[in-house]
Amino acid sequence: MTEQWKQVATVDEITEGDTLRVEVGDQALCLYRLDGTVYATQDLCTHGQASLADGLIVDGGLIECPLHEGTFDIRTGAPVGAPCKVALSCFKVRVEGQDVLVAL
Amino acid sequence: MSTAKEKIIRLQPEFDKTRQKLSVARHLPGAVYSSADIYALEKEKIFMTHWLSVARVEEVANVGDYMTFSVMGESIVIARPSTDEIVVYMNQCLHRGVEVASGCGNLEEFSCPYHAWLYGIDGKLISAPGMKACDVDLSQASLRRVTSHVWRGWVFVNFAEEPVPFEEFIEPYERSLWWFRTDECKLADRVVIDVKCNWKFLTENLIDIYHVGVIHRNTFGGFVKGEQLKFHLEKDGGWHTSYEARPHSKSGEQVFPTLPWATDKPSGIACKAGIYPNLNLSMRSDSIRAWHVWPVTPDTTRIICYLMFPPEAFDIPNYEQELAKYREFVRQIIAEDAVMVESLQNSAGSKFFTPGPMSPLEEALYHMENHYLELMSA
Repeated sequence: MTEQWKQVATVDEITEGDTLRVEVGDQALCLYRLDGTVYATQDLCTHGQASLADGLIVDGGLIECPLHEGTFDIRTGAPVGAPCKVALSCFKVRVEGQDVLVAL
Repeated sequence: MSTAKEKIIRLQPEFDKTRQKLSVARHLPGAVYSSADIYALEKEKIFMTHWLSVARVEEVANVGDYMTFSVMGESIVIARPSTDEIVVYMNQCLHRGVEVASGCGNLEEFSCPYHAWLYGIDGKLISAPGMKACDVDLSQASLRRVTSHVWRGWVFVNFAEEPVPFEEFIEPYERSLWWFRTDECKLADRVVIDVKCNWKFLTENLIDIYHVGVIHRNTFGGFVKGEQLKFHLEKDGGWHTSYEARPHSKSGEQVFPTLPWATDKPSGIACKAGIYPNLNLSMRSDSIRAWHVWPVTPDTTRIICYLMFPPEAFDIPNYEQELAKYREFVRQIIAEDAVMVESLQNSAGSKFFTPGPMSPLEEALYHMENHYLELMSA
């Protein structure tokens, strides 16, 4: 399976402990910075119609959806707090200089 | 004292005329069919205290199925959260009362459309976003349950704080309705008809066999031998009867297979029953109908008629065609009645109308009208 790396943002766009929504084609991703490392998951919550980038990073490594306040593990995409049940798709991230790239 | 209660007191001398023996009794005064205040009092004294049939179990057949319904403005959800459980709860978000569920369908959760409070299909609050700083304990919160009971495939509810035990309420019908075996039937159709008259004109019309030969001569009127009908009156305004007619079809011929529990009876058998306040049950050799009469406003009513058959009926050739004909037959019956009951509604508000005396054929109406007076005057 060949991966396509795409530049989706620059490093200064993602602050520590914060999120950034990016659109790649017809997909929306959510980028996160946790302890310096950048992560990426799908932006659409698997539980309801909400953008995870509008949510809060809580408890060190969880993203809390703004709609029903359910949580997912940012690093693995796993559903953690109710009502989340279905895992998020995660995407590999690489930082090259100022560029943030994601494997699609 | 409320205006309605004052009106009820002022109407007592007229009510006394209904309370006389049947041979000189008068029908109820028009005010009870037209007054908005009395209508509101009926909700309080009758619909919020009685066991009411609101759905068939087939309407929530699968786990996760739900439907919404309204009883005089009280919005409820009927749902099946697990295989053997049907629950009913108020369709009112615990936050500000918005209806959390709409229509019907199959879901795991309801997200309130206003602030996204999330409920399981069993009504339990799963999460209330934005409420972390709230000191009220919501951990056990649940949409308010309404007492319910399933009987012969019907979901009954009771809005009272302390309802009469269901077994006590259903006893006369459990005992006498050998023909109403709807636990062995499936729902074929649910016919909804809106009529512009007070609900009581329809509950009375549905047992007014006196008019059948006149109004329904083009449908089933020619087949009912009304004079030979004997009513069995039960407590609390209930009644039942058995008589000779013909199967409920345009030709009078039997279309669907005989009900398995009626094979030893004459093919012209007809049975009817009334469960107060708004249920009229009807049987012929090949079919069962359950008429539900729902007040919508003082002068408009919604009839929901459930057409029931045992499973074999669904396998007859041309089933869909025959069902369509049967459905139209049912609509035509009400259409024939509608002109009359809408005319009654018109007179009900007129100061010139004085209620007339009753025929012996109106014995069931007399029974229901007097039960109504008991409930409303209490």
